[in-house]
Amino acid sequence: MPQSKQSLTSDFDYLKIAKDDTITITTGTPSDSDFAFPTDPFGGFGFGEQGYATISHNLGSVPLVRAFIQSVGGLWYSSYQQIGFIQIDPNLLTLVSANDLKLCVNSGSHQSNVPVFYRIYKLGTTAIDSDDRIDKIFLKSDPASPTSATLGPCTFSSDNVQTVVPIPHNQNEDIIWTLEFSQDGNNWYNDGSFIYGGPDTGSGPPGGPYAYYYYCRAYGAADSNNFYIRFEHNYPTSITLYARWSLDYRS
Amino acid sequence: MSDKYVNDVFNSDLDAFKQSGIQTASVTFSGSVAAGGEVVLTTSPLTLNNLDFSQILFDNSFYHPGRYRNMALENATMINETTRGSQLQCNVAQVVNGNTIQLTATLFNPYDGAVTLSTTTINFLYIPYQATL
Repeated sequence: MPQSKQSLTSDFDYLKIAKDDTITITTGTPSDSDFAFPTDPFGGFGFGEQGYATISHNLGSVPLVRAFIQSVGGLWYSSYQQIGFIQIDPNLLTLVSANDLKLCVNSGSHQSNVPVFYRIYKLGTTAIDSDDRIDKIFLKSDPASPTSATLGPCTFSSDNVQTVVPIPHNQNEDIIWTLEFSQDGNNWYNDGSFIYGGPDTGSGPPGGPYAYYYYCRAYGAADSNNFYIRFEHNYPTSITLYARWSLDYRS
Repeated sequence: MSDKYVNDVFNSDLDAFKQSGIQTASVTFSGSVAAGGEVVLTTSPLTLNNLDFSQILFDNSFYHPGRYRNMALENATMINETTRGSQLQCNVAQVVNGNTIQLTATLFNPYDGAVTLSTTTINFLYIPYQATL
């Protein structure tokens, strides 16, 4: 019987890395309809440029993709383009289908060689073997004691209050991360998403519609030696937010 | 019980991610929306089956069917309306409650008259995963 090189197998549900790379994208005149309004409401700043990369993965089904862009302040980001007062410019959009990943860099002005890292995972229930690539997580928050921050009250719901919690990782190299955050320490939301509360009833006529709703959110950023968690809210009272996270290597 | 058939056969130093299945849910916009009206559609509950992380993707049957955007990067899509020939912004969000998660899609008609929506389905993919460190 021929020898198989796949001699060691594992638990059946590890995420296999199908493809990853750090690439650079240069922006120019927008030309991809998938990232143009109205197909994509976030496709461009309305006056800027876009650059694209299409990665064929040919997995036959929609995969999990983690994607990061090096942007404001030289930091890497992986979430929504507008964080409070910070406009992440250039920012990153993705579109994934059963066979391709499209990456789009939006920029308010021309940008050359914007670094983007992507990692595509093959989903399934097959075992990994010694030829497969998987992530290498090197640091993770304590499940029993998530990272937290208490933020002061916000005077106007149209405004917001933010604070940044730095977490040194000291790897002296660029990393990637996963983050979720919570308002109560029990119900967890994805990096960059919003947890909405009720409306600020003072921001509209009686019965609404209202201009502003109360919200909180958090997102991650990183450089070669630190991971940063930025917490944000617009509630009129102090609130405490929680985050759980893991950090892993790119290679 | 013997651990002979336990799933964790090979466990040298696998500080990696494990997936926990993929769950799907959808909402469909159609019909008319009254002047100044708001439509909030909510998917059926999906089960949160791990304590770590997830990614939520969505497509739009009218504008990008089968091509999924990441909710962490974009939290809105557009719904076409035929009355005036415009597009209305539809915000998507997640609502987590205990061991379930629901996805919501909210659309507001800013006009002073009713509009008719092009039938549009938003399909969500919920991909949970776990960090094994």
